[in-house]
Amino acid sequence: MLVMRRRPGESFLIGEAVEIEVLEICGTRVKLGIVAPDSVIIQRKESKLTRDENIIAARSVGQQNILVLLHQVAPRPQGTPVKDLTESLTGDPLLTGKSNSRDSVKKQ
Amino acid sequence: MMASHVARSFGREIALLSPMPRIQTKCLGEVEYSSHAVFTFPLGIPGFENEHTFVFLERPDAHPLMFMQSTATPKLCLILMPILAADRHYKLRLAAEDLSALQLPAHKQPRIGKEILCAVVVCAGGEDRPDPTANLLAPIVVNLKRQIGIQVIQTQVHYSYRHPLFAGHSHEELALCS
Repeated sequence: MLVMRRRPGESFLIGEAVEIEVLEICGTRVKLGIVAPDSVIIQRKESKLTRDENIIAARSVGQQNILVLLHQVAPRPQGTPVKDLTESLTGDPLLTGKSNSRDSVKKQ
Repeated sequence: MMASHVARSFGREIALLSPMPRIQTKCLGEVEYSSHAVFTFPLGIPGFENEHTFVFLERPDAHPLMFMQSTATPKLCLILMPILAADRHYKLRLAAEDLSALQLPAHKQPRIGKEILCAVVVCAGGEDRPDPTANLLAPIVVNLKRQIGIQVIQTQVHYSYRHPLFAGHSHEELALCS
């Protein structure tokens, strides 16, 4: 990693077209000004990490992965292991079980 | 956890008044939901900027996991876990702009489970990654009253965006926190 010391008001260049100026230093925070062509995407690193992570997390969502995850998060020694999350529930009908749940309330 | 009880009790009230809406989900088949479990994300979330409405679903047999299902895209669902179940010592710091986006009072940190629900996005493992991880860097925070949500990036504290869910946690610990 290249390390550079700059004071407020000083700047540096990345390539020909990108200029970064140190505008202000206040306590632990540095305010930077960036001049760059429209084609250069500028984003906070943590936004990029979160974006990538959300996409990977969404891709990881599948019945099998969830059941494995569930087993790890909350092992159910007494009860039967969850086999299929799309099965309707007979327990508490107003959670997110399937549609016939409300009818079963009336019957009870 | 508190927020889930809120959603449940809301569900009961609504069911008495009118039939509940239904939604096709990625993981749970077609389900009914309470309108009080619907949250608006004005900015979407990073990576899914055009998704503005999610239903938060849960089932007792999937506790403590929650399902953040897009209303517009049946194939889009994220798995969430209450943040204190992922890290019992987690300290949430909402910046002024986050509080404003959530329509919460300025200069006061909201209480998790009371005014807000705070949960982490879980990567369930699979091809991309063998073991499940949680993004502690950027929790999903929703204002339970206003039904508005954002994904908050925590810059004050250094949390991992790939926090291993089962390293150093016993199952008992997880159960206690959830």
